[in-house]
Amino acid sequence: MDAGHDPLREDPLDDLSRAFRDWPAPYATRELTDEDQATRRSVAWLAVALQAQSPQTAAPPEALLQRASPAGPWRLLRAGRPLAAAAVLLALLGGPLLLLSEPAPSPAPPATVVDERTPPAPAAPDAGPVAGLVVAASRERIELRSGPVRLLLLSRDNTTPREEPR
Amino acid sequence: MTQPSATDPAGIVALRPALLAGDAAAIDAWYRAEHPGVWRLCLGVLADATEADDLAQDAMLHLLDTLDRWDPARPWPAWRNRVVVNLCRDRLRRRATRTAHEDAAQRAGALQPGALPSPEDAAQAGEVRAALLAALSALTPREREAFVLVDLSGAPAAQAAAAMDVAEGTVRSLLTLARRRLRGLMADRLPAAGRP
Repeated sequence: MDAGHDPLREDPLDDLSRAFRDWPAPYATRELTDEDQATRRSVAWLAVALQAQSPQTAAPPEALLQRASPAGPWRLLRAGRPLAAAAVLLALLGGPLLLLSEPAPSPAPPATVVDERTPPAPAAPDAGPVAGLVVAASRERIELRSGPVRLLLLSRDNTTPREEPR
Repeated sequence: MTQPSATDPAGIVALRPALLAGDAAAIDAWYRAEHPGVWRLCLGVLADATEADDLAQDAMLHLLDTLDRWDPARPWPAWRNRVVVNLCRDRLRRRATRTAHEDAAQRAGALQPGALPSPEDAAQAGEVRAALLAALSALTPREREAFVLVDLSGAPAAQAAAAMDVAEGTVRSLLTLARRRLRGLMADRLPAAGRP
């Protein structure tokens, strides 16, 4: 083979190579209506056969209906999740402590900060830890109580004033 | 309550607010309208009736859970088909690792020689289903997706391409291959001309 001869560099071959690269891919597809009759009949048989099939059950499964229930406990629980979690936490903390502390009178007030200037909370009915959950409520604070545990929720007005935007 | 149309046979646009609000009656109506089509799509793509029963219910749950992500300005069938096709692919992947050899061996002999029954003949429903699934099993999974979406379910090629996440030209090529393969399998066994 001639060392100086490079067939890939020959003009006709370059042109052919370029033409081959640029040749649009054949549209190797046809619409169904352009196919031959045997193909169309095969497809039609399969289409009718598939449409003739139906699932065993038409009714929605229980899992779907449970998820759909608009006023069901799951949906309500999800809506009030933060409050429910706080209530459960309070009851869990307060209930056992209350049982442990009875019948001895409640000792000194818990370490929670209590504002002495506020009027004393009305006495909660003696019907268990949950019944007396909300002890006092005002614009500035809400006091929750479960047994010996008190939870003070202070509004933003009682906290340090926020920094004004510059 | 529902306003079905060609592109929204289940009336999903009208039902959407009630579905998102969790209205049980709306869910029931939507399920009854949508489930058969979803089931048939699963049946066609999976080529397995038992798996289609199972997956179609999963697909309905998934569609309901993701309904808030669907933009009502876009066609519902495109969204639904994409969800269902993706779930079918996941299932096929798991099946492939589980019982590939058993399944292939079972299906290979399923398309019995001889004339195919009329697809509408209720008395031969079992044979029709067996032949349908056997024929579809002869296709590759991608060919099956394209063929079921376009030729059997009537979706436009562009919509099928979106559902399959491929180019429209690819869908058309897959369709050609699928038709050619099915013609070779079925052409000589079809019922006499004049019937489907």
